Amino acid sequence: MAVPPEPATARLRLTVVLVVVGCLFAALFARLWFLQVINAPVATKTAETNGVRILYTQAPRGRILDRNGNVLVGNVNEPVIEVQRQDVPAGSPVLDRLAALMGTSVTTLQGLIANTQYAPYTPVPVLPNASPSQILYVQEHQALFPGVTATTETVRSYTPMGVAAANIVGYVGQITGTELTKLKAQGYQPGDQIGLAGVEATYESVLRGQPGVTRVQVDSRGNVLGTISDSAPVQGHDLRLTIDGPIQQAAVAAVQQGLGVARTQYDTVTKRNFSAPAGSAVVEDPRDGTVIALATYPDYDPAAFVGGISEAQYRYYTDPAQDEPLLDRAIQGQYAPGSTFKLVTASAALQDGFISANSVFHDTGSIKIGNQVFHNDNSEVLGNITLSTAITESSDIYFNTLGADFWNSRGRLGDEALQKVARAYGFGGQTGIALPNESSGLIPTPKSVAAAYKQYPKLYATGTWYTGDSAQMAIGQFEDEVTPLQLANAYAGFANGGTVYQPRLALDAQTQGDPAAGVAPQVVQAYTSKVNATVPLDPAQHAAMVAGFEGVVNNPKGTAYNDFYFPGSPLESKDIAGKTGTAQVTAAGKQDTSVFTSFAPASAPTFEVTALMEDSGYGASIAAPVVRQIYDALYGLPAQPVAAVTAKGAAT
Amino acid sequence: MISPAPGNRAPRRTSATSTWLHLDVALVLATVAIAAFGVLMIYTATRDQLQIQGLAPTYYAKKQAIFLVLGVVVMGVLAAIDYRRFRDWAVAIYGLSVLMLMAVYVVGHKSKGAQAWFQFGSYQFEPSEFAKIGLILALAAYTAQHRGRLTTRSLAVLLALAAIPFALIYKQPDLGSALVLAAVLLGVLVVGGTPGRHLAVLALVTVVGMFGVVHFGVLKTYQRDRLTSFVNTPDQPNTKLLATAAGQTQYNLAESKITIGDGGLLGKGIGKGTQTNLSYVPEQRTDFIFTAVGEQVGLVGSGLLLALFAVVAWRIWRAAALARDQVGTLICIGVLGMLVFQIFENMGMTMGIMPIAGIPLPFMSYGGSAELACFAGIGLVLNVRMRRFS
Repeated sequence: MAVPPEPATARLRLTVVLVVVGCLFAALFARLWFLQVINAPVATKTAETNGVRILYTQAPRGRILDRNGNVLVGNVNEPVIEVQRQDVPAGSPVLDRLAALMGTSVTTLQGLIANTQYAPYTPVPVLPNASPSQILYVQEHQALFPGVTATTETVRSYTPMGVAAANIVGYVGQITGTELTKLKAQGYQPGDQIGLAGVEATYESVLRGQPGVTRVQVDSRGNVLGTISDSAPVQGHDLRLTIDGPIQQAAVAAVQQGLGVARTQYDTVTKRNFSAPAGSAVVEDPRDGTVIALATYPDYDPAAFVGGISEAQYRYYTDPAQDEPLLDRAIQGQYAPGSTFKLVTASAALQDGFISANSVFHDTGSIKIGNQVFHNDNSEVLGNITLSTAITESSDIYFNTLGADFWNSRGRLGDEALQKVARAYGFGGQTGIALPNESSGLIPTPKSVAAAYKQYPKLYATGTWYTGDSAQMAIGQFEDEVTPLQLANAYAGFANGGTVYQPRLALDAQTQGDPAAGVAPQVVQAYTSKVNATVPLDPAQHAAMVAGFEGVVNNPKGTAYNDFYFPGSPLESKDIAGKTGTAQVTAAGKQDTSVFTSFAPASAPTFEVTALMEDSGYGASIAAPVVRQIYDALYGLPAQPVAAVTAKGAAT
Repeated sequence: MISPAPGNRAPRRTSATSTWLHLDVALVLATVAIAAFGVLMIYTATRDQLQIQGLAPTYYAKKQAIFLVLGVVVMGVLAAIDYRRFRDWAVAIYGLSVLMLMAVYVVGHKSKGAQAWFQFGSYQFEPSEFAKIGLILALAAYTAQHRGRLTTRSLAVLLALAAIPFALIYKQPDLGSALVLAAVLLGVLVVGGTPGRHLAVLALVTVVGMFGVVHFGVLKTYQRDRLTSFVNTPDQPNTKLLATAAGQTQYNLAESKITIGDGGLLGKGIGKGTQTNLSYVPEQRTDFIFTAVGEQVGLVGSGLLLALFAVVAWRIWRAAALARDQVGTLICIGVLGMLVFQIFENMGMTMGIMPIAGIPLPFMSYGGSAELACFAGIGLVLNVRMRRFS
């Protein structure tokens, strides 16, 4: 057999091949070294987390209690049918069966299951509020429904007291995408319930509890292979509010009744009955600023939000034609305070020495300030009056004059001497109560007037502050706007001798305890009051003003004398002091806001009660009787019906 | 040393026993060891998923063990028949392999988007694997006929010989297997004595051609994405990648690299690879079997496997160098090209330094046809070496 001659380069060529092969192996080993030595720590860490999925079970929320431990908001287990996604793929006969049981189409059911608000591996509730027969059917035929669970989910339940306090307790709802991005670090998951309003929102961290965490191992196809660790959810803490449930109910009822009565009254100015669409009331303890009741009407049923509110219902609750029941007028309504603002003017004038406790002023019923003439209501002439009388009989001229005095002394005191005291009482800024979306109100200043004019030249006649503006502002007109809570809190601050607290809603957070096992609830956090500001007055000055406010209720010449007492009334011994306000609202078709604010007992106040009734007339006419009925509840007296009282004299 | 001295016109007829005395035992042991380790790796990579599906955990491992035994038989048969007979039958073997590649379009089985298999009951036969052996024999025989002096014309014939199965396999489409043929061709051309200038021209044409293929849409988008995705694959397997087809490839590659890296120096222990047990690497029992090795036995074990492969390559090269004639040398070089290209491409892709192509790891990946083809190649090499004196 012929042996072929070899090419001369054969040996060299074989060597080349060997070198190339050697290089390729070297390259593989180098890469292997990089991945398994240099990069190994990163890879190991990634691999560790790769096969583990964490499932969260939301904890039942803590309850919301009133100051005496009455339940306002609790929890209830609601039957629900849930589907474990990966066990029920498209085309599964389970879908047909479940759709038939639910009385819906397979397409609708698949849409529910595909809801992206629920994380993978989390059971998706497809039938909240399932009927007992549906639950029973699934449980009895579990073999026909692999991946379907008939179980219960914990939802919020509201006692009648809780419903009356809807604006305070608020409601929960499913977490939104934006919130989820913000709160991811705190372990929130898609589909979680979160406080959206009221203390449910502001005390979310107390009420929420700790979600249960189950770590399961899954393969790349999502098959759960086993549980690595499991921790049960821990219920959130109970939040005990400063609210007194029965008083809250009484306050809402009084406001509701007052509005009904107001609508029967004829308004001589607009020549029609008062429309009285809405009102609010505040009860506060002046000693520490705790809020005992915060009533607003019309109100809403928080239970409507359980399991997601319907769009129609939500539209109704936010409809201006229905007077926006979701609006909490006690903290979000902004009204001209009318004569109740005289508290600020009197305090400021005493502090700055325009008047003393006993100085006498001659009230002629009218006064010319600049080129404007100001009158008392009905041009009543009050003659020689002291500060107390000016408050008791609500002399406008007296306070108009003081307002003008402030402006005329601006060289010495600055432009905003009066506003400064108003702010110290808490007007023109949020009080800081632990509720979302509180309004600030408005205390106008020369600067704010100029700025407003500059921004909206067509809306305002002028950007200049006149002496008359100060005179108007001093009696709570001009552009003054306050919230009912601000007003109540300012008077509470005055009543306790000048300490303006931040209105407080929470007493403490506590565990549920175990009543069955005799384990008492334990306080885990007690809340304390915070002082926002002080308005110091010397005792004689303070006493003079208190005497004036006492006179409003107790002096036959007082603007609210007819409101509180009837022969033998038990309230007579309670030493109630107060102030009426009748705020003129300039907007077309609007009627006077009826305002009454009060504290009792005047010598050592334990209650501050305020009511503001929209489009309802004189303060003495509607708001004062509403306040009176709230006192009935506070003192444990039978509730006397709210009756319209004819305002007397200069009852502004 | 490459061949017996010229002028030996009457070779000694040695007995069958003395031929078998020259069997390269190291090569046999190395390949069988790799293949046995492959069965173990396939078992660990498939056990848990099979259990989830309610099947026997040894389902794939058992089948692969059968392929291993068959492979050893094929190796023995191919070693037993004098390779010069194969040289004489080269035209027929090559023709048969091309015919089968054509037939697969007519009666073949379509799976995973490729028309590449004949189905026999529960077994599949992949003619492209057979074509590799066919091409090696054809190229070696034709080149040896020209006694290492390749003219432009004979070079053209060689290119055509390779181009026919290349085109047929590429059309299946199975770019990876087609490229193995190119590697075989390259090895035979270099060692077979192609003049340097011709090699240079060929290299230039290949580079330009590859550039054109990647950039001017000869490849389908998914093919191009698979080829290029390894360049910019992130280190972390982010599930957001799964949204696109190209992203899925990158996700899989990232998981592949993580799985190998997870093994570290010593590995997590056989049966203890979490990535492997939880099936985080797709196609792990076939193309990505090396990730199971990397995770479970670490750098030490993978390095040892690499060393075994290096032993195999070295013994094949030695056989090529010792062969008594050029056809023997070229058969060995063809087998070397086939195996080394597959080893480098397969391990390289699992480690992210080579594009992803559907190429099995020799002796390791699950699959009967590839296992048989690899053992057939080793059989031929043993054959050449055994008969270096006859």
